[in-house]
Amino acid sequence: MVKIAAVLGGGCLLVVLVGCLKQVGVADPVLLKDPGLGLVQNLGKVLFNEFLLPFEISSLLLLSAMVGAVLLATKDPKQKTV
Amino acid sequence: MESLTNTIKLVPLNHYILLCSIIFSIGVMGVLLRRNAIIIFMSIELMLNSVNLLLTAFSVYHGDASGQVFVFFVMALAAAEVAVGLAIIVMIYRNTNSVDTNVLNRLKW
Repeated sequence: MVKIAAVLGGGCLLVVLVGCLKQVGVADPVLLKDPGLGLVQNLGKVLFNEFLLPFEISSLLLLSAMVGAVLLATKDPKQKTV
Repeated sequence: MESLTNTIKLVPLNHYILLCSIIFSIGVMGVLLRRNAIIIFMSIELMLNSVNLLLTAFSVYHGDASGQVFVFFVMALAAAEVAVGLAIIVMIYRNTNSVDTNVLNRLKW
């Protein structure tokens, strides 16, 4: 029962997305106009100029995730394991 | 190799959106269908990566590098989420000896 509902829900999502896409005309081909777009050098320049603050904040996120993971996954020696 | 590169250049943006919609829907169905916590996590990764693919496609389409930088942040967020989630799964496994999410429907041990 749950599986039928899940397939129905997921299928409805796909149908809605594809139906929306059908309304849109065919776009231009995805062409790499600027050949230096995906290069590490240019990407790094964007990352460390425009997105410097989000970059630093993501380091905080990773640190807190690491601390949280270690805190959750280490065995508590006092607690008796079930 | 040259012909392959020329063929890839002809792919319109719609096909990228279609592919990403299909991958995203597979991820949603995986989350809804499966009861194994680890497979649910794999499906969440599938959804995140379909969005990543779409972001890079739009980034190339508009010639703007911001989309590709945003993919980095999505990847960092996915890594953090998986680290915490796997720790939670380990804790659940220690307490209930299974990773089946049906065991958790009472939200207490």
